[in-house]
Amino acid sequence: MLTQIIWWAGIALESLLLVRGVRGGLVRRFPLFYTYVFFVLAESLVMFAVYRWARNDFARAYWIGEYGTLTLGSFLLLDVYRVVLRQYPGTARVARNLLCFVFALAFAKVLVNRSYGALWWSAQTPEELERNLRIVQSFAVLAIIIVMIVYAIPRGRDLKGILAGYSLLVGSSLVHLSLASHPGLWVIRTWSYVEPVCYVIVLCIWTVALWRPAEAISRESSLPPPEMPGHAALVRQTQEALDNLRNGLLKEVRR
Amino acid sequence: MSMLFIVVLIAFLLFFAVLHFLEPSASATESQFGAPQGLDDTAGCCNAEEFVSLGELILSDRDWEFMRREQNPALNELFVQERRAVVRHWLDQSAGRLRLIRARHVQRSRLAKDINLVAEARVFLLLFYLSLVFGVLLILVRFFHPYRSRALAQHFQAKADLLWLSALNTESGSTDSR
Repeated sequence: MLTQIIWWAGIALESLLLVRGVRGGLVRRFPLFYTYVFFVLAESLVMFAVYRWARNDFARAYWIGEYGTLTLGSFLLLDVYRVVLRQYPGTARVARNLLCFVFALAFAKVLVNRSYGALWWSAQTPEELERNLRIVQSFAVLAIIIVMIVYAIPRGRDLKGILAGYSLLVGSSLVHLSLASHPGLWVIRTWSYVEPVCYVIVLCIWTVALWRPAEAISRESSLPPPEMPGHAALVRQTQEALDNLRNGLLKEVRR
Repeated sequence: MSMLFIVVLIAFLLFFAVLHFLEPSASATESQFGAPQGLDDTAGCCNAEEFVSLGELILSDRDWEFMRREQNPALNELFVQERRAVVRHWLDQSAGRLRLIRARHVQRSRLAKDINLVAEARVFLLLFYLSLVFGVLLILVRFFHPYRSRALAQHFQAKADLLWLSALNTESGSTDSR
């Protein structure tokens, strides 16, 4: 019964999110995000039909849908990257390099596993494979978030909502998938309910955050023009200021 | 089990991010950097160089020597309390200046199209290092005699320099000479 409620609540919220997105014009602003939501909604409805009329194929259909949403969810980060960092070329470059570093690390891990004779993508169970992909995804999310926090990138309610919701989604899924490989743990039974509830919370966060588009539009127009001196000059100035502070401090300490 | 621990750690970081973004005040305005309001290089008593030399006066050896010679415990205690408060204030102000430098750098470097990632990483390393030094000094001053704090800070400084900052100094020195 609880599962049914969560399922239908999810479908209702996804529909509401899409309707609000279309009416408020946010679909144009975050096309990949809304594609993701649309895909999840379609998947939920298809899965419901499969569960009802072709239960034998449910497991296979579930994993196909799951990997589809996982892939589209990764593209969601591109929306954040495109919308937020477009106006900050310096931060965009840092984020790009950080993401490349994360993916290079993941690729290196694959190569190392291969050299030991194990294939990363042929994990023992689909849960393990999804968990591995989620770990890479979570590092990418964290990289974007860290860059945004360090560079104090202005973010409206819409972006904060998308990132908060997505972080919760990835985090709860990661915990669930990791616990699944430890069947003896008592928390598994509880967490199998917590994760769907988390998903409904995620949808609530997204619906509230993306209810109105006004804030995002006014914020964009208030940004300063990107006219700046060279980065080398800026670094020199900052290092001079830091050296002054540091030398003064160390003079006290060393005296 | 170690994998589970790593995953839980990542999930914890993600949940922390959720809380950060859901916080009503988490809009990235300029004040988010934490720079003291109205503070700039010439704010307050003096300019940056004079401000730094204030530390020299606050922690003057001659003052300590004079107090030791007086051999008045009550006066000595009062002096230590007063000096500790002044040192803390000076460190607070220094940390404020550090935040201001960071804020200015970040506000401009995020718009720089020709950003140099190595130079940027070096600046952040130095910022992190100085934040750490200020943090440690603030803690030391709170719990130890200011003069003793200085000795401990000196020890900490020597270790930090030995461990990893010497490389950074050499690098920045070679950049300057060029």
